[in-house]
Amino acid sequence: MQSKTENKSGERQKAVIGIQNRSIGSILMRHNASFILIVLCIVSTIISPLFLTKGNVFNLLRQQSTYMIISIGMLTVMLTGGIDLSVSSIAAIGSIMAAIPLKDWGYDTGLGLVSAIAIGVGCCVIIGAINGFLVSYLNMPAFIVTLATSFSIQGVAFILTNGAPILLDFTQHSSSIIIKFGEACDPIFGIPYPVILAAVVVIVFYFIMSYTSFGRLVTAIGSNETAAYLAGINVKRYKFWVYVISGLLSGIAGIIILARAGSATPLTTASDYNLSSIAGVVIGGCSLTGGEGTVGYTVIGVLVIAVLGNIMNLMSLAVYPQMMVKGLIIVLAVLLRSMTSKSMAG
Amino acid sequence: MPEIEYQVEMNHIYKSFEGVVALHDVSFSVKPGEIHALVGENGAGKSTLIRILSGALQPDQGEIKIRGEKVNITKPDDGIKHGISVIYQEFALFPHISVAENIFIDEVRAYNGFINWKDIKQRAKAFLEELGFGFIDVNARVMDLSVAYQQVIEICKALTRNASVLVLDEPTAVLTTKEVERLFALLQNLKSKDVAIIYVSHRLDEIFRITDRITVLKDGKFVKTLETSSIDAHQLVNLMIGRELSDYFPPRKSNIGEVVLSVEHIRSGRAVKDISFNVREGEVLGLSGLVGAGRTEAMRAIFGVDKLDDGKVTLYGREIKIKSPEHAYRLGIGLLPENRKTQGVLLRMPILHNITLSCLKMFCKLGWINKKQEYQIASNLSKELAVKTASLFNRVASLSGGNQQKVAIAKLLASKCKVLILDEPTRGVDVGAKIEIFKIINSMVEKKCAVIMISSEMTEIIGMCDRAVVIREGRSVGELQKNELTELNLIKYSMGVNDHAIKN
Repeated sequence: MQSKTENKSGERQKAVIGIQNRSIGSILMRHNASFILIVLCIVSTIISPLFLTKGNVFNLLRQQSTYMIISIGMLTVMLTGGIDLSVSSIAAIGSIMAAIPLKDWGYDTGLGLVSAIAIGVGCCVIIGAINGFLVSYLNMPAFIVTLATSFSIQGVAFILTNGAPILLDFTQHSSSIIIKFGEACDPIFGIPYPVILAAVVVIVFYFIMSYTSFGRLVTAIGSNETAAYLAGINVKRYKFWVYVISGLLSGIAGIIILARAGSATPLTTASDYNLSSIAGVVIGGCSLTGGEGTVGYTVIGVLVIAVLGNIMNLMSLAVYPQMMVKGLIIVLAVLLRSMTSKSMAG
Repeated sequence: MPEIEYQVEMNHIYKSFEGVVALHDVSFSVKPGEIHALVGENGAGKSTLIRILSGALQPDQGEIKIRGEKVNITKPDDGIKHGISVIYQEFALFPHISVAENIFIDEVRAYNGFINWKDIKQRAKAFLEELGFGFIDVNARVMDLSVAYQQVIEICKALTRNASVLVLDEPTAVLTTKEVERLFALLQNLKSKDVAIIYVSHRLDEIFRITDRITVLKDGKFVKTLETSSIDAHQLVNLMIGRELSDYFPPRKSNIGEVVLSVEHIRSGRAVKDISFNVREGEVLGLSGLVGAGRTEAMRAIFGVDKLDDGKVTLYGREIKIKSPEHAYRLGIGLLPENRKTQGVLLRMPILHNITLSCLKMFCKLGWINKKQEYQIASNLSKELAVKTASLFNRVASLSGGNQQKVAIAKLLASKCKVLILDEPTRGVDVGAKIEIFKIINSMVEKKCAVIMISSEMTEIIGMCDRAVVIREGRSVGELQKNELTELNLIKYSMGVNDHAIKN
């Protein structure tokens, strides 16, 4: 014990000495995600003239709207020091549970569409609540809980669909609205609707995380759970709600997936939302132990991964090599992050 | 082999932590076949000295000699190599594996392919028999043994390392009377085998029963080494204290009013057996006692962290059952936890957010934080408490220990608690910050708060408290009024020395 204290004091001394030469370095570290993004954009522009075209940018953003929304949910969970490995599965269930009423139950009015979306998203909220209950009130490790629920939901998704995609009926009134939402752009600026929805989510959560007691306390819990608990904070309640939020946002993303594809497939459970959202959040500067991270930097972190994928598409790299490169780059980015956070620790 | 006088000598040891002197010119030596007591108040430097001997800490100055030869002990492995084994209160055993494996853990750890289990078990059995504990099953898992036998296993392990110096840190704290007898028999046995034993204890009766010589430390300084037979308990206590009451306790004017919080016969877990006390408006109540007496645990139970098994807590005459720290804060009871860095502050968060952590609700509308008001409150408090920082947006980690503690206290003040439980409020802060913290405590009681202060420093209890309750082994054993607050009385109660032993 005592020797540890001594080591720490030694480190602190070093940190104090290092203060002067840290200023430029620390700016670079704090904003490393922004720098990476800028460098990536420049490189991409040089490599492909198509990169900066309006079509490509909107396409990129449209693709990323789901990742963006899910990552914001992941951020709230990771801020408390937890993790949610069930976001892919939850998004899949969201799309399936919205598609079933539209397709099989004949919900073909405007109200029907709203109900279908409510059912889809509602299921996701319930799954998030189950995750939250198990992690928070029963004190189980988030990693295991969400991995396990993810696995179960995957099973449910295949049972509900018999393993085949549910194709929406284009001729139906309600289905045509949702498909239009996925495809069309808003009439004024020509921005795709899913991008607008993602932007709304980002802005809402920007305010929630920086201006409300919820955001503050979630961060406090991740910073030091014991201290927060002893300071009279209902730690369990907040830890519960972040999983509900993650479920809710995954569900919203699920609706966008349904809208864009015009179909819901159980294969979404096996998509890369888990890895990509965690990577986006971490590249954006969230500490894996919680307590650090902002909505703004998460957006940048997600965009870093997005641009990476986009440029590989423009270079017409095949899917499998893309996966390989993406995985490697995520490992590198997280490594860089853990190295810088170590040197930042006071 | 030539006769040697001392098995181990520590000469002129100096050690300080971040400018705070822990040991100042301490010398100490132990003969082979001797049981040598190391005594002193909490914080006198006993643990630091032992840690230096074991290699867990490095002295700033001074030398260590083993059998007359100067040695360099820079890490715990060196200590073991030179035959020094320290048995701490928390055992370094592996609870899930067998007794035999634990005893010969070094061999098991250094295995090169195969372990001769039969051989290890036989030798473990032989070892235990030699020490008179042949009845312990070498196949049993250590976790299934009682604490006393676990201690025996620890000692056995030390002996397999050819320990010639055995250090026992409060070995009897966790033992029953019967087990203590067994331990003493074992120690006598080891003594006859020429092992040098260093015995750290607060229990005076034990010291007089089994030790040959005593070394007294006080405030990190060496006081005296003497033959146990040459002194009595009263003289020993005087050697341990005998210090002028420092004059750094600022005066206060407070009117002591009605009883605010009253605690009757509470019981919780293993550490809190029967504790009662009450605290009045405008009063500082001290909770004195040895480290590990159950004071912190009692506060945790009252504060809703641990379960209260029995007893009654009343606030302003109304019985309350506090379910969680959140509930306690709602009732106006705040706690300054014992460990600042892991429990008291959020090191990575800004000072501002730390101060307002417990009282966010007060300036929130529908969850929306009024940042201007928040800043105003925090900045007023940080000025009032003189927190030294360039900006409230700096992380708490950037502050010195004393200022971190002020932030933790500011958090309690911001939430307008009426009852403040301060657990070791001045631990690990320098003298200047201590005085400032005392002033803050004074201003709290002047504002009619009721303050409960746990402190292991007797001078602090005497200088700051209007009244003190002494806790010993989970029970409140005495209440001392202001005029009865002396070190002698506090030691008497906290160590359980009877009047007979202490009378002049």
